[in-house]
Amino acid sequence: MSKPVITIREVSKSYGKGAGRQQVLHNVSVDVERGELVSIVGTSGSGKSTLLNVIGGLDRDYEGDVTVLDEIYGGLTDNRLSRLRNNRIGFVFQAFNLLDHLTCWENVALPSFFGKHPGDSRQMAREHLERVGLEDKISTKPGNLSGGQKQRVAIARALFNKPDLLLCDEPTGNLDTRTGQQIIDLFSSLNKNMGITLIIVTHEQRVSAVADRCIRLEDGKVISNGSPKDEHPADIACEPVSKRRADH
Amino acid sequence: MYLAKITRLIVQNIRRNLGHFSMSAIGIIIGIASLSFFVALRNGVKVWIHSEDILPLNKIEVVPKKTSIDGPIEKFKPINDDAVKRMRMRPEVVAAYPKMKFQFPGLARGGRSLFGQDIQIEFIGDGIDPKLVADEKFKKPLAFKDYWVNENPKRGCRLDKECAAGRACNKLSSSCAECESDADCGAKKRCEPRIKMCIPALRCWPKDPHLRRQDGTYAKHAETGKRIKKKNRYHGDCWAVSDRFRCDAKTHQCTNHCTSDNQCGRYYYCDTKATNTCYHAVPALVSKYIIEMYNGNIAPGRNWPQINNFVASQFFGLVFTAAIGDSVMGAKRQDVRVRRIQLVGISRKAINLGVTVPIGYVKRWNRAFALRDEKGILPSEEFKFSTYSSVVIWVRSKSDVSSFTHFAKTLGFEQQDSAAEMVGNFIDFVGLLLGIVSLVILIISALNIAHTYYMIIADRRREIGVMRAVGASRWDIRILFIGEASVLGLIGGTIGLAIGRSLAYLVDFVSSQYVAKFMFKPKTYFDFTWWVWVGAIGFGVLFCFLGTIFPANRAAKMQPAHALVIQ
Repeated sequence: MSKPVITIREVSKSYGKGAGRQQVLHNVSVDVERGELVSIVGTSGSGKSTLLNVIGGLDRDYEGDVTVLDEIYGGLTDNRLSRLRNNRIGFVFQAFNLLDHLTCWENVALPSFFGKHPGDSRQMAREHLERVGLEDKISTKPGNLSGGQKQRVAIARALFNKPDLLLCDEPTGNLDTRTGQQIIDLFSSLNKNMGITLIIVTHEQRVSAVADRCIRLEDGKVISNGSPKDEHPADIACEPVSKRRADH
Repeated sequence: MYLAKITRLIVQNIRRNLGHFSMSAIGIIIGIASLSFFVALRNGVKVWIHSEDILPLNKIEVVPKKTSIDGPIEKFKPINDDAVKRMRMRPEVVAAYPKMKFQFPGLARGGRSLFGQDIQIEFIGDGIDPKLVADEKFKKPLAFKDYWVNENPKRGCRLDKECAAGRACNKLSSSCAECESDADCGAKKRCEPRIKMCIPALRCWPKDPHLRRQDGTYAKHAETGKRIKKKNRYHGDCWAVSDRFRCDAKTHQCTNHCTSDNQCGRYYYCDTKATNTCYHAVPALVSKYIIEMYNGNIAPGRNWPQINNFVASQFFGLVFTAAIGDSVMGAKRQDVRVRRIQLVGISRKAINLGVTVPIGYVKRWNRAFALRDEKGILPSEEFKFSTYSSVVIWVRSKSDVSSFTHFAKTLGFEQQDSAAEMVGNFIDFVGLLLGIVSLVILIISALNIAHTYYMIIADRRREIGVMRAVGASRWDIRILFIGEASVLGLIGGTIGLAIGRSLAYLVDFVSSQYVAKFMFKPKTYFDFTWWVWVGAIGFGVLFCFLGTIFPANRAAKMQPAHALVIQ
């Protein structure tokens, strides 16, 4: 078995101080293999986005050991962590997080503004926009795009640096079912065709359905960590919480 | 590449936040406009005050120490040639020129061509060494030199026994006689009986404007056949002998003998008291101060015309008469000498009020009017022609003044006044006050910018998070915000400077159009030297930088995960 792309050991994280202190992650330990598509599910406040932020190096205020893409976060300077994000990690957010004053190609090429990315940024951005089917929107500003188009621009941005790891936080949360399905298909093909390791935080069952593995968090603890198809045929572990509650 | 992309982001951010930026820039614009205006005003006024015409900083006038009433009695040390020589030997001294004031009364008459009638004023002035104005150009053929010395080249004897055997010492020329009759002089020369010297024998026709040959026939132009005009009307054909020789109407011989000024020509005077010989008029310089005083104080009250540089240049060559030893105050001397004085130019080395003539004339005049008894000049009067009233010292730079002043004190002299330094310090003080006001405006602007940026950063929190997520380092975020502020400072500084410069133009225009003429009124009160331009824009950038540095730091230190949380 190859070395995991992500190794998380005993990671704990809390917000606040004193009596108001709230534990968000409790000794979470997770491994992710290269090329895996992993979904993280759980109720609101269960710590899934926090875990994703820890993996992406966006949040460094935690206890425990995190190793991502052979880099031990504990020993990294902020600059090296920024470089790692710039070169090897892509992010897709629920709220798209596009910069409204920039055009689509500038949004896509944003990583090239802060790091060394050889080649013509505009041309590369065009290629990525073509891949997500938005080649005609290259000079459009995000304000003039639909939700699905915005998310595709955000995905093109995440793919700009040809990442080894793509971290997606509720990527379909703001999209209608049809558009959401297109995005899920896109992720699936990226994972299968390009071998990108994907971690998707989601509420939606159809997202976790395409995942190789599903990690369920509850109150900051990993309560299940396995393949939804093999280990849990009924897919109970990775069913959306809302649906399970409705069944009860 | 990196710079180009960051610049692109900065420009887009500025375009997006134009409203915020404009408000923040207003303070910087006002601050820089006032700062550049006041600094340039201070510079301009200093340049104006310390110009060579008014109060140059590297010029000192050294005078003998005055004894104060309550101070210790000190021996009066006059400035003599030896003291001047010692001052000139100092390394910091560029030039030292002694001045000798007139120690006699005098009256000047003239100005008919200017005022319609002759006016009579006290003839006051001093003398300086002609070498010290050697670098100044005068309208040709005018020159500032001691003509009298050149016109008496062979002053060598006082008594007959000083001359070779058989030769007498001629009292008129103070030189040994060359001849007794024409026979002693050979061909083409004759013996001038008064001065007993051989001079070229030329026949001349005094009132004829055309040139004649020796035989009396007119010289004609080879091609046109027209008569050739004499180059010098006043001296007839005698210019070939000397420019102060005239044509004697009776003998048709050139001579320098005269009985009145009229015989000598316009630019010459006749020394009727001694040699009865024509001499060149005494060249005189005036200072610009006199013209400025005339323009500012005298002419306006009397509706007389103003004198500008061009008009002043028309006066060069003007001759007036000075009655040396004469006075309307009752101090008239017995042997008044009338001299023609020729105005040759304007010089900053001339005395402020009066005329400045070559020092040789002043020495001779002071000697001539010194009191004397049967034995000769009284010893107590000797200082009048052997010591100087002051020495003007030009040092290399302002910083050399104090060391030279110290040296002059050791010689027993003192600096006449230090108005230049006092005025300079006062201007610096006022300039500093106004500069502080401008700086306060800039500091307030910087605080305003800081406040604006804290708001902007709160607004752009999510954007900062996104940039950090795609790989922007803390420094990238800092550079982004500081870069925006620097562009703001650059634009604000440039606009501020443009406003400051325009205000300066406006003030100069208003001054030239609506402010009455005063002495040494400058064309501009401002001096926008290169460092004012660079400094104004630099300060604009600096204060914007200072205003943004803390907000930018806060933005840079934001945890990306926190920044991305939707508020």
